[in-house]
Amino acid sequence: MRAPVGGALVCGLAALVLAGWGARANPPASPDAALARILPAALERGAGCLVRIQGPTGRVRSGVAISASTVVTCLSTLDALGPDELSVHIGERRLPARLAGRDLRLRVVALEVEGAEPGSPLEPARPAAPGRLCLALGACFGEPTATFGMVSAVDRFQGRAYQVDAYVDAANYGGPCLDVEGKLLGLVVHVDDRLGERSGVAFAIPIQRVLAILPRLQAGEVLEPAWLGGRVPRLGGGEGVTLRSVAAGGPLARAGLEARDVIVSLGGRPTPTRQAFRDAQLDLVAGQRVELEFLRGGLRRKVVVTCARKPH
Amino acid sequence: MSRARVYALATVVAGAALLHSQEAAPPAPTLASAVARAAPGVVRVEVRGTRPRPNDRWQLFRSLRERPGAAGCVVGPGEVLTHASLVRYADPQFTVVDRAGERHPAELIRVSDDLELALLRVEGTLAATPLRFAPATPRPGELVVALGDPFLAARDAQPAASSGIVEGVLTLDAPEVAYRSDVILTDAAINPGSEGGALVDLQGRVLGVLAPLAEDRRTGTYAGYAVPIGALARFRARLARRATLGVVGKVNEGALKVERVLPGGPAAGVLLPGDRVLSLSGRALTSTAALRSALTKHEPGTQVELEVERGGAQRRVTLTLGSRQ
Amino acid sequence: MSRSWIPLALTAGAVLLVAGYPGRAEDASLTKVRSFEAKLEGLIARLSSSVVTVGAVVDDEDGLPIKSGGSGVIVDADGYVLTNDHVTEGQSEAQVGFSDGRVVTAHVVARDRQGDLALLRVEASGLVSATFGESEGLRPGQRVLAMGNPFGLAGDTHVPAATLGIVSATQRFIGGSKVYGEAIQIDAPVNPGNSGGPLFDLEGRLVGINGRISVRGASRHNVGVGYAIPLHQILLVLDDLKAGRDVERGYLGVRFLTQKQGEGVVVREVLPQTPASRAGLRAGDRILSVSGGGVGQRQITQPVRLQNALSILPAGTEVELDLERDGRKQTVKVRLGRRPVR
Repeated sequence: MRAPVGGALVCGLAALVLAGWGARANPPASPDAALARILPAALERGAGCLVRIQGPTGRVRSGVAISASTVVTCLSTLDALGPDELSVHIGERRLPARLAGRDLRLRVVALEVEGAEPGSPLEPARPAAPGRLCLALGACFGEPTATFGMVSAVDRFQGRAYQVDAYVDAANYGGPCLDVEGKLLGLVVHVDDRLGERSGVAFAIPIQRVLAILPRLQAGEVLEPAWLGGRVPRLGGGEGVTLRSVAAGGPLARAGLEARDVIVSLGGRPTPTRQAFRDAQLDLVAGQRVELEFLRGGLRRKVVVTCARKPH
Repeated sequence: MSRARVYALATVVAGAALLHSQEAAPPAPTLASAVARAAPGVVRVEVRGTRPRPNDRWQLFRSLRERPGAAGCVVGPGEVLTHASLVRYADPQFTVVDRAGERHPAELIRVSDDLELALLRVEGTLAATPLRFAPATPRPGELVVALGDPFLAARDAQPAASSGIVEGVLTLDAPEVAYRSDVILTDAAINPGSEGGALVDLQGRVLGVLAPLAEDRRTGTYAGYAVPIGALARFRARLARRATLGVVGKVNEGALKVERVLPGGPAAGVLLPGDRVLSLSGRALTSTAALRSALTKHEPGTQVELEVERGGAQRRVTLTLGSRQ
Repeated sequence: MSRSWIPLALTAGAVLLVAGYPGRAEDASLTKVRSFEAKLEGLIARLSSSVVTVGAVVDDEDGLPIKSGGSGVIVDADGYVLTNDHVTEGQSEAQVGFSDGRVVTAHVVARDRQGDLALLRVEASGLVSATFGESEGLRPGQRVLAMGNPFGLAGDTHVPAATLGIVSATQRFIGGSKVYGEAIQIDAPVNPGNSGGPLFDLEGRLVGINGRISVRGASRHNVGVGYAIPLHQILLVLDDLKAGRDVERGYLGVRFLTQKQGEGVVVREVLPQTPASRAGLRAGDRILSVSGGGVGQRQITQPVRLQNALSILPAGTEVELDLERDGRKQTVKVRLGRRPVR
């Protein structure tokens, strides 16, 4: 009975070969070993959206290609390179870039690039919670560089940004912050020199926030933080926050509000505490008209307030 | 046996083989296991001297408060590889401190500024385990550990570990970086005292020798990097290359007596016939063997300090070593 | 004959499934990393309620709130909060902020000035204490989590920030007016504002209190070298602090060389009217080990081990010193006195 013995031999050999293959394909039993495998792949995948921005003197900074024609970066890139004669390195090509809109609240800047071909579609990552691992990329060395860290906290920097502990410096500002799959978590922004460089305290604007304002940036708008001109006490609360004072000529004053009025909602969002009042202002922009509800003498009233820019 | 049973048996055999292969695989590496494997190969290197080394390229970039000395990598029995910036004196005296806290005098075998490496030889038994070498250049994103002695804080000579990833593998553009090829950039914390230590992978194999922080011109920011360990092979190959003073002379009575100065050579305009060269880089030239040993420590093209007696008076001169054909 | 291919195909299919397809390794790695992330996320969410801000001034109307102050950790649900002494220096009260936004005034119960610890008490309900871990068994390379309020960035919310790193080294000794003995060196980013905050292992257990960093040049921020007071030192003084008793560091009264010269440490000089002189120690004695006070025996393999051992023990601790005198081994009992303030 040669055939079954021959068959068994073949199967035995196949088993040995596959065992060898199985050993190589062994799943790593430690998070460190798994990270060592995953991170290089994440870097390669996510580097597709990384671009190098060059100024007239040849100095370079990092940016993110957020669409076929738009590159976003952070405000400090403009400080370093100036607003004119900018170009962007995408792949092998160097293309001229024109300053479009800016969001001074998020510290994000958009550049319009001429002649870019559509690249691979952007893959936004799901929103982060503290503990999420991330990579901060940089384009300044000619090839992508990356530092590794973890999301330390969320809703930081006046509620707008992820705080991450990856080491970040001028090479990374304006560049992408990726998750372990190479998907885009956010845009690294420079916030304050007092935090130091590569200190383990860095900020990234969540990509969802950047995408939300992108059309306005592409239209060339300059979005400035809204100022209402009213002071509320730190502690206390209840149904609303009590105005301690109202700046003369400010938006609240012009809408007819006075000290001791109790602000109950702003833009449709309830404001029982100072924190809630602050949160409700986060998405507002100078020049925006917003509905405000308040109490005076027991009566509830509604007004429309036109937000202004913060006076110097 | 029926065919079906044969195949069923084969499946069982295959499954068992696979299961066995998974159990037989070594436990997955972690950062802690990498440190445990590599730390016995990293030592403290102390250096003393009386005079700064001529043309010490790292002098300008050292902060005034930096204490001399840092770390070293054990690359063979009694052989310690460190960063060239540690050879900061004209007459350097090295001490290697091992993990048991024992101090061993060490001799400089050679320093190469453009490879940023220096090799030391330790007499006696070093309580250390030579590092294993990583087989290839790492990829950006891989996990690494830097082992060194930042701020010389280790009173017990245990190296400190810091973790990070390979930030990139690229050529730096910085005045203090002599290595003209790709180096390994990392975000693992590197500080004064780390240099000469090891950058290792998750298996605890050395990827490179840590260098002092450098400021790249393109970004204006500090980069932490390591000279790839592959440079060691080039370094060893150069040990055969010998430097020369460019004189004809004889060693006797505790000095090298210069008889003739080769025209257009390294000593032209520096030494004269009749000069007695007492020491080279702080090493007394008491014998021909001592002269030969002193000459091997430096690469052709580097500046060295000579103590010379001329006409009864002693003076110090610097000379750029030539290459022996 | 066609039917005989079916079992062969089934076998091959089964084996392939078990062996894996080429992408299996990477998929498995991603799953492993995701579950590690989920673990970190769960840990930070759970531990946040035990981490507090101490003395941070609540931010102002605009700009980035970079304020002074420190961090702390709840060590007893009865309201005890531990922080660094230097965070509350000169104050008998401090503002403590919880991650749910509550701000409560705490009073200082007791201090270990030289050990850089201060114990506060708050009146508050629903407090979650940190679970104590094991600091003597920490291994270099082991991952740790530091939590606190770097640069005061938590602002009004008092929600702590977490950073991830590894144990860089153990048994670090830093002398000075505040002595850090057997300190845990870490590379988890720790900045001004993190002082007094907890260091956790990845099971979420407290292993130290972050208190010091090394800095480079003129900057005062993290460069990857931080130091934490180990839990095993804290446990030696916690009961005294809770009872309202200030703690002082132990003192022996000998001078010895800090450079290694053989096993143990040779006493160069016994200072007069000190615990050492009263216990009969003599110059020339070689101290080989120290034990007592609730910590395990410390073999003095290098001089710094003696500095470390003495610095973690509080005044009043009775220790046993194994020493070699004139070639013979003996054991001397000493009650540590008060460390003289510099």
